[in-house]
Amino acid sequence: MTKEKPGKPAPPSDFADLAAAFAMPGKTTASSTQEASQPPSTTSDTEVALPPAKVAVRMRKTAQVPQAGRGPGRPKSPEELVNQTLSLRADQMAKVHKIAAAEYGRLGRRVLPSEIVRSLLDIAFEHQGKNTKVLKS
Amino acid sequence: MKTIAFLGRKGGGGKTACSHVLALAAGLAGYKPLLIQIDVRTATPPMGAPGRPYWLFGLDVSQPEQAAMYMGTIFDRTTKTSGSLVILDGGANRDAVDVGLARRADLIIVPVADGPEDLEVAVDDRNRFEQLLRGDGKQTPVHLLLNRWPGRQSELQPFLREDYVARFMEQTEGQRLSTMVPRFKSVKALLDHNSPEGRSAVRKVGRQLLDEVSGLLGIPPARAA
Repeated sequence: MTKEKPGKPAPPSDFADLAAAFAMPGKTTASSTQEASQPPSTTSDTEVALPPAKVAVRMRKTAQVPQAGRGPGRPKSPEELVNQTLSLRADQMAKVHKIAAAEYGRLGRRVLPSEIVRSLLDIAFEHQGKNTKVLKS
Repeated sequence: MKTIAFLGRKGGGGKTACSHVLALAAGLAGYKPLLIQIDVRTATPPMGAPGRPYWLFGLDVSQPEQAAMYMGTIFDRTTKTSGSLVILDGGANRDAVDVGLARRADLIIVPVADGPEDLEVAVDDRNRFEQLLRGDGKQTPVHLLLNRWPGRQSELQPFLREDYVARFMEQTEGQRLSTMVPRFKSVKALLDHNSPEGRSAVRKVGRQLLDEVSGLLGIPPARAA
């Protein structure tokens, strides 16, 4: 006689309506029993506020990044813009490499220095602008 | 209702992983946990995955007013619900937001990974939060949680003898939780997979952490998972 396997644990039912309500606002993500097995819709108003374009660029392979030196007028790739903006010297780039290895190496994938530079820029911009406000209590 | 905040400036310290481990254990133990991930742009686990015994809300703090409003709604509701446990998962490098979260928390946990910089930043974070709260006249406990440290004694003992680690241990005596979250592959799986029930080792560590946390918060012991 086989032992009956217990069912999967479920979130507390007390907050089911709260979770359902939070599934409605456009910029908020939430879990919901009704949509438990469905990924968040990318076409409806309940779209998750993740930055798909940014993630896509971050995940781009080196071979897909346009090379410099083409004709004028071509939009610059984020990597080129980063290098142009920061004008990193070789020794500075080596430092970025070191940070890349320390911070992200353990993720088990190769990390481009430009990814790190962009992360640093993201942090800098956030600190400068949007993120200066404290959450209201 | 009690609020536990996992905070710290260092990315990769384990704020998200440890908050999920605690939420999992709390859900299995009969509490009503609600995990609020403060920054949906960091590693966000799948939403609405079956098998999570807790609700997971993701807020986008790049829209602070909206995030604050949502959080207010969640707090209003959880305050009225007996046995609810709000777990806040802070984002890295978000000092200003962290201050707001720290003031809301009944217990602050600063997870600390095993790198030299991790230790240094975590100690600084802990002291900063303590100073902030004492300045407010609050006695909110602020503890360090060793995360992703070597789990096996044969690896842990030599690690503890490293200069920077020994110094850290001496410096933080009485400021650390006794629970240590070792390097578990299944902790990562808890965040990645669609059925994040967690393996027995994760449940065990989670339960240990939950017991310690409930003791610090003075809430009734949970039933056995």
